[in-house]
Amino acid sequence: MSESTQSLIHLDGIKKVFLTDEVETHALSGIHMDIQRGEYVAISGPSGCGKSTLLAILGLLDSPSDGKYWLNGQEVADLPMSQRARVRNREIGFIFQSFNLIGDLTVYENVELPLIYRGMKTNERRERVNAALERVGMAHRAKHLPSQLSGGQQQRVAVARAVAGQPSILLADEPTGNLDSKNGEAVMDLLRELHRGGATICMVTHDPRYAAHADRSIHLFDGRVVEDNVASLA
Amino acid sequence: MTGVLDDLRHGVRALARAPGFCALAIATLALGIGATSAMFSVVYGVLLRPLPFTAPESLVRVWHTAAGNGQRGALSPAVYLDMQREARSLQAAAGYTSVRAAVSADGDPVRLIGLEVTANFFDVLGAQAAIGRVFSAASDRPGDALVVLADGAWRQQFGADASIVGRTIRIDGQAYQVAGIMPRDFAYSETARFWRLAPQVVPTSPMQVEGDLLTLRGLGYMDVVARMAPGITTSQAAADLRVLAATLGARHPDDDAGRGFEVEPVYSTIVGNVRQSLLVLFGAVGAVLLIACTNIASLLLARAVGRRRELAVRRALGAGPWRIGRQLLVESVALAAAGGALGVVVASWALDALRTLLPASIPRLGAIQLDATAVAFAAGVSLFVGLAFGTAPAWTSAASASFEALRDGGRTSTGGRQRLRRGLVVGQVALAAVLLAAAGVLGASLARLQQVDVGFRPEGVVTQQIALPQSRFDRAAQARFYQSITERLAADPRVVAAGTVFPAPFVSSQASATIRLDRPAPGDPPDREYTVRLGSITPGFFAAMGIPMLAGRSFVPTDFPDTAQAIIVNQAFATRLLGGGDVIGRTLNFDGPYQVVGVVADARAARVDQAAEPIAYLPHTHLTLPFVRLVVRGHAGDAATREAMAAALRAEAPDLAFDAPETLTALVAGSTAEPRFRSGLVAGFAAVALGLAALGLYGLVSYSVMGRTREIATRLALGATPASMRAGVLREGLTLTVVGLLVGLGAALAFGRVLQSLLYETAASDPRVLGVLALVMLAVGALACYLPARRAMHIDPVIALRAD
Repeated sequence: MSESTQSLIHLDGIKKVFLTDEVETHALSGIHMDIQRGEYVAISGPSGCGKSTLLAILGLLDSPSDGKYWLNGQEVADLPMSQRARVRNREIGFIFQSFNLIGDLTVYENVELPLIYRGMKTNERRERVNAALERVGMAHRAKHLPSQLSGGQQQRVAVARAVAGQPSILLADEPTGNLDSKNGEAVMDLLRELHRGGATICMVTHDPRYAAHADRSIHLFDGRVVEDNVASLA
Repeated sequence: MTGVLDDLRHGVRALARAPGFCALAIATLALGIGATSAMFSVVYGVLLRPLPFTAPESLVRVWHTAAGNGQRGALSPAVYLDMQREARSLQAAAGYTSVRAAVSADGDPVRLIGLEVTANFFDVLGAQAAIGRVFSAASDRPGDALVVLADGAWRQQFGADASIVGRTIRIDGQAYQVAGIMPRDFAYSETARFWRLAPQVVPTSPMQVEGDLLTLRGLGYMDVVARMAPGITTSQAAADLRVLAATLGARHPDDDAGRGFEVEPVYSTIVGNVRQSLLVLFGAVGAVLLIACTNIASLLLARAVGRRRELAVRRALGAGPWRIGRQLLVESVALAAAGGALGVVVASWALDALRTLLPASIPRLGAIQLDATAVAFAAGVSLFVGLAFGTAPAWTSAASASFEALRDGGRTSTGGRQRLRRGLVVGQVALAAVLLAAAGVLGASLARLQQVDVGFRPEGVVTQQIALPQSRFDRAAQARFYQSITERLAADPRVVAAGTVFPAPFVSSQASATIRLDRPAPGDPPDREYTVRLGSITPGFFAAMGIPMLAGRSFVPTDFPDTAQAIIVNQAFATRLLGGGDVIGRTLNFDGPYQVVGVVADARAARVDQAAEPIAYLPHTHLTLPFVRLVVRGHAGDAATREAMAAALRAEAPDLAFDAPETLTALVAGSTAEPRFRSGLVAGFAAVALGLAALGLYGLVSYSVMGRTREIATRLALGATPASMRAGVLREGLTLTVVGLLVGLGAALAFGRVLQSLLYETAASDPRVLGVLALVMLAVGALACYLPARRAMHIDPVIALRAD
């Protein structure tokens, strides 16, 4: 248990079973994993191996069928929905493949949204949003709507939204999946820069080129961790 | 609070980006809330708004009931005075009679309906004047020539000139000082435009009375309103008056034996039997609102499906289910608020339309207005609609905003929502079925009512109220006037026949008397007394009305003198009281013996839906009243008949003003105005409900086909025929229709018990009506499903499978 208190994330025997009328699908079959503060982890594996399910559980968007999950020293697997939402808002920043910016809101408002949910005061929100947009180089587009931005710009706004609340970990789900190679590289550079600044990142990707950006690579197959490599610092 | 404002800001912006959805939702809500608020205004004004009197719950109407059949009747002066002195349960009682009089200030006289009231009339009601004062037993004496004007008369006849108070106006040529103007909402009775102080402690008798009016017991003509003593209930007052009736019966056996009193709260008398009718209409419009709201809920559910990704993003960013639900609820309430605001405008228009459609028989029409209460009702309904019908979509969306939606863009299963939408559509169809069933049976009832043979031929008959001032026309002069005017009209080439009658057909007045028969009806004791309705007619009345003479003859001039003893009865009288057969020559005793000289066919007297009662007709010289109805049948059209009547009246009484003539057809139609209004309005509501339900069904099936495009395309690619796809979609829609129909039919049968009392010779569960309803619903259901079904048939498997 001492390990769990040191790790930012500690998973102990996480299982996820999807039940339908006729079929029982084991998406995750006993995942044990620790992610330390400041780590940059890439999770990869073939389609259907459980990457997304694992990311959903890590992001408190889904709960495991069995097993324990400690996040920042707090056991979170069995929290009620409203509490999970609160923890998610404070501890986790999401970056999605398809950006998932809200089309009705401006760039500024999209970045502000998690801070509103946190109940932060307006002045503090303004500072945080502006800082986050400056960080990703999108401050000049604050009043634009997502539809007025390119894909790469949208993903940078999504990154700003993810970091604005200064979460404990960034969860990125195929963050380059909807981008061309140039914009993909730019986003990966941004993530690397955030990591250098101390951010903990956990990224799901099926592209080995991008997985190589991380300093630790976890490979899933049939709902199990089959490989966990730490890249050499050299 | 800041969070809610943020939600509102985001919500309004999100709604503004979906103008089509917003317009449809707001328009639907505005129609539903507007129609409901308008109907609420009617119900509130008629049934719920407090009566404009002090402590109205203590006010009762009092009637004297007839010996034998217990029929309600007016009080005679002596009985009224006895009651006022001896009834301990009553704090005070005021008497009044209805009068029609020519009222003038400086201009031409105008015929107005008013009341002649005792000095304590306003004391009993506890009413004050808006301008000036009312009369009071404490300060005014009977005979003071004082009049109080209604707000309507003051505005229309006196130009809302406040200086009229204290000035003199003329009523039937006599000078009266205007004491005050009543507030706008004061109405006792509904039609009264003025209240003049009676010349004695009781109102003037409509018939000339020899001797002391205050000791008159045999002629009841006074209506009475009383205030019960503090702490006394209506039933206690009734019990007290029962004892008093027995005392009076023993004290005056010739006049009062066997008679009683009946007491009814003034509220019940005023509201009468429209309560159920209005509540049914309110229920019907409420059902329409409910259907409209389920459409909105269905639209919100469909919209929430389109927003799955956005909601999932919000969830991923830390919004809890409550926060997401609140966001959607705020949007729903914002929509409802917009719909409600527009609904108040719609209600204002609808109320204007309703005012023109409401039959005159609906009481307290003046109290119907779109006031603060109605606006508060609209606001309350809007809030309720926003919360109640936004909750389900908000809850299901908040609960199901999942991670999958972030990855697949919202293509994952929406089974829960579809089930909910199906449930909503079933509910809509069921409600529409209930309304259609109600419209069907009300329509069938109205059709039966309109087929009723009233016993006379109203077409081509024009009638006119004749009221002669007693100050100028004594009883003999009244009789002469009626004879003369009818003879003059009968001689006019434009006229077929003319007569006078009291009581007037299809006008709520009556005359009755207690009689003894030469041979009592089978099974009755020999000294049995019967209270029967009386009619006073001139000889041409039956011919003018088109009432067939079945036996004997009509009146002739030799029947006019007081010494003559001729009487005519209707068939109901002949059959029920005289045992049928040849009744010519039978003797009826009241104020002396009368011999039956003729039998006429039964004719409905007051309402189309009330069977004829036994009635005995006397020559106008034997029962002479200062007010009768002139009945004239013409053959050159109603306009020519009116001209002939006007010419005859000008010739007979050039200085008198008379009420405007009316066709008998209009009077008869007035009797069915309420059922027609009710039936028409419910039919309108049912049509809207059916349309909305069809729209809901169409929307659901269309949405289902859209969501199943890939599945249908796959089936087609695998060899399914387009026709089988169409059949499948039709089956889906019709299954919902049938389920809704069955639920609706069950509810309609249960609801039928409420409707039954409003129906005429029609069962609320009439199988023909319900059968037609089922066919209509199935046809509309099939129509609503046909277009989406056709679309399903034409899905291109290749394009559909490529689409992603």
